Amino acid sequence: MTGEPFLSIRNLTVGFGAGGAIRAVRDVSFDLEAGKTLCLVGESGSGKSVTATSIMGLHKPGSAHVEAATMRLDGINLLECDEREMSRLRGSLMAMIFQDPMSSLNPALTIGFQLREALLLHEKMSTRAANARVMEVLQRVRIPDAARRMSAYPHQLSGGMRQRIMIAMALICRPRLLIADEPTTALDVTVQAQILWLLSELQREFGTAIIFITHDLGVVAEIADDVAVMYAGSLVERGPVHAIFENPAHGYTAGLLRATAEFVPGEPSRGRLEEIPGNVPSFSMLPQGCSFVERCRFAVDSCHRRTPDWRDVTFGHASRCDQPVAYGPTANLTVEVSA
Amino acid sequence: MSNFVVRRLLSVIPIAFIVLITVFLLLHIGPGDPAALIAGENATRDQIEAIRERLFLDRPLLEQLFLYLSNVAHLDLGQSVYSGFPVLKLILQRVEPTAVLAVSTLILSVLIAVPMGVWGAWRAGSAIDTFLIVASVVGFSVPVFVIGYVLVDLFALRAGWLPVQGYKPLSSGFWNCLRSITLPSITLSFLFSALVARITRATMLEVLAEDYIRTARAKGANNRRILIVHALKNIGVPVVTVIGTSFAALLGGVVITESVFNIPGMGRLTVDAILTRDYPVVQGVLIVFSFVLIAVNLLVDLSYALFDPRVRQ
Ligand SMILES: Nc1ncnc2c1ncn2[C@@H]1O[C@H](COP(=O)(O)OP(=O)(O)OP(=O)(O)O)[C@@H](O)[C@H]1O
Ligand SMILES: [Mg+2]
Repeated sequence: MTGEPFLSIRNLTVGFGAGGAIRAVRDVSFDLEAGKTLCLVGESGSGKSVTATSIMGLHKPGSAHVEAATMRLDGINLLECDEREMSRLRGSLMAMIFQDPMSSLNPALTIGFQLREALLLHEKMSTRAANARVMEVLQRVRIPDAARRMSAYPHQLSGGMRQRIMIAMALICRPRLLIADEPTTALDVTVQAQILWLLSELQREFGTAIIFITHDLGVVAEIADDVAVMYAGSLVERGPVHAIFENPAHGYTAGLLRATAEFVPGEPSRGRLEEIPGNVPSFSMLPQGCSFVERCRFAVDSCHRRTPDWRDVTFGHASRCDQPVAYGPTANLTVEVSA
Repeated sequence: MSNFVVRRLLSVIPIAFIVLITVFLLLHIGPGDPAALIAGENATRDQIEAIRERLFLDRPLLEQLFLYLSNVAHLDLGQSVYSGFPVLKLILQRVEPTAVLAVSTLILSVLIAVPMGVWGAWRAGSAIDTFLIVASVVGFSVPVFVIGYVLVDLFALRAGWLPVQGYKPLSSGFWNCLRSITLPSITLSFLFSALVARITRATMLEVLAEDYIRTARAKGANNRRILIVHALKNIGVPVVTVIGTSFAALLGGVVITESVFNIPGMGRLTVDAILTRDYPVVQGVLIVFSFVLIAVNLLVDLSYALFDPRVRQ
C-alpha cells in the first residue's frame, strides 16, 4: 500500500435538478486498491448507482452536477478528463455492469455486435480476432451455444442470459476497474455463485479492482475486501469486511446486519435490507444532525444536534457516529473472509 | 419473416373491399336520386332516365354493387358523365404530375426533417433546438397557398430562377421536370417536414434517454457513434410510421399545391370532378387515392421488419 491508491474518491457530491439542488450523493470519499473488492451497500435510493455513474462519468450531460475534491483512477485525474478522454477510458480501463439487464441492451443490434463493439473501439483488432475473444468470454460467463447467440437479438434471450451478456460485455476488454451494480439480482442462486466466482477469477488473473453494489449481505460476506455503507446519500461507515461485520460502528450498519442476522455466509440472505423500521428520509427533508437519527435505536440527544464527523474505530475502519461503541459485536455472525 | 409479410399482405384484401363498397355507396347514401344528381340541375326527365339505365341505377342495390366490383376488377371505372371519356384514362393522364410531386416532396421532406429532428434532440434545449422547434411550428401552421405564393414571388417573379407555374412532364427531360416541380415540392415540404421533424425529435429524445444508450457510452462509444449506430436504428419505426400516417395529409396538400401552381394533376382532376358533380370520376379518384394510402401503409408496416428485429419473427 505504497503511493497513491488505484482509485481515490474525495468529497464526491452529486446534485440533480435546478442548480443541483437535490443532492443525491453528499461528500462521499473512499479508496480502492488494485485487485480488491469494495462492496457498496445501502437501502434503495441511498445513492449507490449515482455514485458509480459519477465515477464512470455517465450522467446525462447537463442532468447532474458532479463535484469532487479528488477523483483519480490509475494516476489519471478523472475530473480533468473531457468527454473524449473519458470515452477512451470507458470500456477499456473501467467498465460497468448495469442494474437492469432488460433495458441495457440495444434491441436493434445483435448480441455479437454489442459484445464486439468495445473491443473494436479500444483495441486495434480484426473482426475475426474480436469474435474469437467474444466467444472466449461468452464461454466464461457460461453461455451455452455461444456461437449461435452471437447472431441473436436481445429479445430472444432470457433475463439471466442477458445479464450474463452484460457481464461479458463489461469484461471483454479486461478492465482494471469494474463497477458491478447489483449484477446478480436477476439471477438464480447457482448462476449467481458462478458469476461471483467468475468475477473473482478475473480479479485474480488481471488484478481488477471491483466496486460491487448489492443489497445482499451474504454476497458481501463472500466477496468483499472492504465495505462502504451508504445512507441517504452519504457514507456512514467504511472498513474491512470482517471489521464491519463483527464490530459495526454505526446504527445503520448494525440495523442492516440485524435485519439479515439469520444469513449463513455463502448463501443469499433471506431478509432484505428494508426491514429497519421507518424509511430513508428524502433529500429535501434530512433531519438535523445525523441523517439516521430518526431510525436509530441508540440515538441520544447529541445525535440530533450535530452531524457526526468521521471517527476511526480501528485501523482502516471508520464510522460517522458519535457512539461507535454502542452496538457491540454482532455475536451470531461469523464471517469467513477469504484470504 | 415471410409469415409476417404474408399475413400483412392478406390483411389488405378486406380493407380494399371496404374502400370499394364505401365508394360505391357514396352515390346512394346521400339524399336524392343518384341519376338526377349526376344529370345536373337542368336535365330533362328523359336524360335522367337515360343515365339511370346506362349506369344500371334501376337495378337492385346488391346487383349494382356486384356489377361495380366486377367492373373495377376489370379496370373499368366507368365514364365521365361530363366528357364521356373513360375514368381510368382521365386518371392515367393526370397521374404523373401528382406522383412526381408527392415523391419529390416525400424525399425532400425526409432529407430535411430527419436530420433536423435528430440534431434538435441531440442539442435539446439549445438555441439551435429552439430555432428548429419554432421553424417547425411555422411550417406546420402557415397555409400551403401562403407559402406557395411567397415562394413564387421571391424565386420566380423577382429572382426569375424558376418557372412561376405549370408542369413539364418527365418526357420533356428530367431536369426540365425537376425545375417545374421544385417550387411546388418546397411549398408542400413545409407542412410535411414539420410533422416528420417533430416526431423525429421527440423519438430521438426518448431513445437517447434509454439505458442502452448509457451502455454504449459505458463501452466508450463517442457521440457520433452513439447517434448513428445506436440511436438511429431505434427511431426508424416511429419515424416511418409518421411518414405513413401523414401521407394522407400530404395528398391533401397536393390538391391545394396543384391549384396554386396550376399543375394538371390528380388534385385538379378531383376538384374539377367535384365541382361538375362528375360522380364516376370522383369515385375513381377516391379509389386511386385510397389504394395509394393502403399501399403506403403496407410498405410502412413491412419496413418495420427492417428496423426492429422483434417484428421479424
Ligand atoms: N437523473 C436523476 N435525476 C434526479 N434524481 C435522480 C437521478 N438519478 C438518481 N436520482 C435520485 O438519486 C437517489 C439515489 O439514486 P440511486 O439510483 O443512486 O439509488 P441506489 O442506491 O442505486 O438504489 P437502488 O438500490 O434502488 O438501485 C434517488 O432518490 C433518485 O431518485
Ligand atoms: Mg441502483
